[in-house]
Amino acid sequence: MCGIIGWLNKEGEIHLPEFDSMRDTLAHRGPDGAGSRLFQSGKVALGHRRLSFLDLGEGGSQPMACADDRFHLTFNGEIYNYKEVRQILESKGYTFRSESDTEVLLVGYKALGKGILPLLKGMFAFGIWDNEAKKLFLARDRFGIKPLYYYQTAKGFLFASEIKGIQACPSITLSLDLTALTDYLTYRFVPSPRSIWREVSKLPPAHSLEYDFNTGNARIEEYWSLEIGDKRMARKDAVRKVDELLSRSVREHLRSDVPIGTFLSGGYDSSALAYYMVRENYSPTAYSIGFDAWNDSEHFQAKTVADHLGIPLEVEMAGNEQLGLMPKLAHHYDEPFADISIIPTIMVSGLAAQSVKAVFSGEGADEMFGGYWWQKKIAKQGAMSRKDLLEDYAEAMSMGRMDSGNLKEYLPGDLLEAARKDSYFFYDKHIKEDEVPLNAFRYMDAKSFMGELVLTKVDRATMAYSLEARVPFLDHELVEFMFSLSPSVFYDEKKTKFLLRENIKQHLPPSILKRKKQGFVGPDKYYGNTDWYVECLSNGHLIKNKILNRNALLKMVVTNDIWRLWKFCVLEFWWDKNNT
Amino acid sequence: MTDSKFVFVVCGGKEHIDTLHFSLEYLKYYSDKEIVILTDSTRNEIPIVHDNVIDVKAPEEYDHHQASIYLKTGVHKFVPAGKAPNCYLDTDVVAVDNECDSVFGNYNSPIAFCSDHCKMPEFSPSAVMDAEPSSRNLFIHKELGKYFKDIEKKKKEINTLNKDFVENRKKWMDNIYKGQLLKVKEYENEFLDISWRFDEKVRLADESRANHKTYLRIKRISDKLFNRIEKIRTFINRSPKIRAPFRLVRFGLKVIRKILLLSADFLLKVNNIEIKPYPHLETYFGEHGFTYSPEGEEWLKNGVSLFQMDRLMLQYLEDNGYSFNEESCLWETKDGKKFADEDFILNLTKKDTGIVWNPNRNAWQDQDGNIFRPSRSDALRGRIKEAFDVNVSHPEWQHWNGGVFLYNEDSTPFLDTWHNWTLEAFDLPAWFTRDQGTLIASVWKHGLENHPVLPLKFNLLADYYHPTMVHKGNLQFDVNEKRKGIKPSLIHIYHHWADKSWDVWQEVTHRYPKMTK
Repeated sequence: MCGIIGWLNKEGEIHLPEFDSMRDTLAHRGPDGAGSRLFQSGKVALGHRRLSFLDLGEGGSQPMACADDRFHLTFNGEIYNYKEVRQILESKGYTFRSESDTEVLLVGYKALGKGILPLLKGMFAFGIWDNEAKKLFLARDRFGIKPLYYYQTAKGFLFASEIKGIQACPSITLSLDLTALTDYLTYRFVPSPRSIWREVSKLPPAHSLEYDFNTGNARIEEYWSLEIGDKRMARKDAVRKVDELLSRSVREHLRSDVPIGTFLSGGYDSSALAYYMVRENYSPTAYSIGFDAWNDSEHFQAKTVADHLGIPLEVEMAGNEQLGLMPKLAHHYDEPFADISIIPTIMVSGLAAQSVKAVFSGEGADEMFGGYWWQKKIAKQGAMSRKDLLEDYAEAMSMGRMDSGNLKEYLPGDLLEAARKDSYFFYDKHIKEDEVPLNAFRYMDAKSFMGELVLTKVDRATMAYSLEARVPFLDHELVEFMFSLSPSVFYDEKKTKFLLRENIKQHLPPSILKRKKQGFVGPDKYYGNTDWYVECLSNGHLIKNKILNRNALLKMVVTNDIWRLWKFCVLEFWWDKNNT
Repeated sequence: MTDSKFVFVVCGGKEHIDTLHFSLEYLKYYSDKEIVILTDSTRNEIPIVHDNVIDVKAPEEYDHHQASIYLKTGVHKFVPAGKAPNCYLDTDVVAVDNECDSVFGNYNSPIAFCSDHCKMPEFSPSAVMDAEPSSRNLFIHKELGKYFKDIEKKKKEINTLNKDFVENRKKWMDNIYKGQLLKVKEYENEFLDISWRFDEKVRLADESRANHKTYLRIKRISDKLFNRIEKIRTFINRSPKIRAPFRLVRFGLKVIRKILLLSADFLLKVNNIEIKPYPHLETYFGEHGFTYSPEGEEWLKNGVSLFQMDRLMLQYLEDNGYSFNEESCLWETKDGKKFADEDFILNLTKKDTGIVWNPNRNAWQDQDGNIFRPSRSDALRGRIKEAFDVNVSHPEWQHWNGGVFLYNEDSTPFLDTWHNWTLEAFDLPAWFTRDQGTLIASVWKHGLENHPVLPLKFNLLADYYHPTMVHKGNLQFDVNEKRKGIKPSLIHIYHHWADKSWDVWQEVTHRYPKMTK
């Protein structure tokens, strides 16, 4: 896992020390090494911060050039099937100088161009500079596990793993995107391709971008899409197939020259991963967060699972003082980002990073196996209109709904003008109204909730501590298989995440299987401290800069409107950090 | 062994003794038990009318409120009970049925109270001062203060605008419109009279026709024929090939129908019933000198416009700097300042702050209709610990209400604690003069926090401002989702005592003993 950056400056030569300091804003993503290289008479620069796992020597250093010096790669991520891809390339006569997945990607691009993308299994974001065609090629993995932001104006093109890399560029200024700001209040994140800055965009998951340095034109393409099927098969065969795919994914995700731990909440997903790791004769250390004075604190269940599997468990207890992490979060998330589990997630990352460089994390299982409460709620529904699907999904996602209907209560008029009339455009974009509602929701979850919120949360929280999060459930073959199935095969009203449960039920304590699903968020009281919100907001930037109506704040405080207060508080810390 | 008795405590102001007299009347009527009034008669503004009064001198340094509390918490000393329990009642507790005496059968030693209608954190601000008000409460206090100052300013501004507006309207009525008023009124009345006569004429003609059986029969046949003709027309249109012969049939039927209609008219004429009782409306009114002007959409007589007062007034107001905003349904000044009545302000506060002033309940309430209590606080627990070293470990403990309680000889240790601590609390600067905070302290001191409470029907707090309580009529209440259909025997009238507009009070007065007797 690494930090990548690139600058294509149409206005003149790039001053390398300046570029290196931009690159080093990403040092937390890769503390093990750094590299930069200039091309095109100094007008193009690629940079890399390295967190090494495979081929720990110089063989994996980046930016990496291919043998004829035409293609240069800066790469963030892991290609889990790099050995298999390498064999294919070797069979076509390509040779390799190192054992790294980076070189496989580079040679693969040289051999197949963007045709390499469908062959890749893993998480990635990379940039390849073609020194001959004077083109830059960027790509991001299928689900959006690894981030990639870019800046494009007449002045040139910049890209980086995190916005802060672009922000550090001395010759550009960024302006606040007011529409994105109102989108944030609706969604809790800024949906791609926008970012909170008008000039910066996100490359959406499963997309590639080709930028022509000479013309300044960029072309964006989707290289993979998630298909929903209605395949019927015997449930026992589906259970077996999930086992096969998940085992293989875990095996591939365990490829590393350094130890890998696992996040363990004691829920189905993280417990299943711990079990599959143990089944591969791997004994990871597990990491969990507990909450003081809370009977439902998950560290109790994590301990049960760890003891059952015979793996060590490290626990850190969270209290309200962890709200003090908010400035750190504002720094690492770059954009306002109001997922409610960001605090426990960054805590557990910090804990794990003290002893390992990588961890398994259970993201993706709920989307695939149908584990969310809103999926269950909708599972019995017959056909629904597009409007009803949108309405139900928006309600499920809202955590304090803020849309064109009520934004005017909170925001001043000039900011309102920037707000969209169709607040739920992003859900609308990903809605599959012809599918049964359960599948329509699963798809939106994969594209929106997971792709934009959950995976961003995990990447930034883990990277804040130079820790790589690996997500074996998001093996695309497993995901494709799960989405190809009819709900009658994969969904059982009485048995949550049926196909996963059937594979783990013999191997985990029954108390874990009987547990109700619980988000990784902590007790409500953790977020219910209105005093804290008042202290944060009452004399804050949002009030001073007339982003938030003072009366609206009063109203939220009076009515203990915690989730809306949380959104504004996150925005306040972000504003403070960025001095917007 | 002494029998159980009811005990009221009162001293001081006339209003309290009046309240006692009211409740006493009810209790005497509904109860067979002895009723004792405990008082310090030296303090009373009016004499107590009752034959069983115990007079106890309360310490002189106490004000009347403190003296009442002194007597109440010391009731076990001044009106001692034996094995059989006595029942203390606040003066605003009214007996409303014969089952009030059954309260004694619900006694659980060593003491028995009812639950209060709110939880400890809501009660806390009424019992003690916050040591450090929370940021939330401070913010709300400060901001609401500011907000309502702004609102007051706005209100004043709106009131001025309103006043100007009303004056302008009055000016028009008095000066401009007045000149035309008499003539217009005369014409309008004439117009209305003609309209009435016109309608009456039509009604009578309709009635006469409806009573003429032969005419109706012919009309019915004619209507049937019309239906046939219509069916044939549809049929012909669908099948052009056979159009010719059916056209002939249709024509024949039309002729027959025409003949029928003519004979019907003839019948009416013979019987002196008007065939067409009214000419065209405008012609009819025209005969009486009224004309309609489509341009002005107005009726005129001798050049005077009728029914145009509103339009003319609107025109006048608009000419004088006002406009009516169709969207908000409010009047505005030329520079866009809206003004209207109190509702506008109330809606504004609801929109701005999430709370709204409910004049009927005399309280701020949130959007769900709950009474807004800005100062929910945990301070009381801290104050109890600080003053009496009692740890109230459950912050949301459902505390007891002191309006009704049963005590007997076993209650002395508990009531001694309550009495002594309440008197101590009089001198504690952070404590308000009340007995319920010290009641909580005493309960936890004696480990009675899980002690059974009396059924709610023996101290139903009919709180005027209760957020969920619904009076279903006939003094039957749904307190919340869990406590429904409660019929109190002893009702505790909380706020708005004697408010005749309150349906609960109306019901209570309906049960007035003399009336029911």
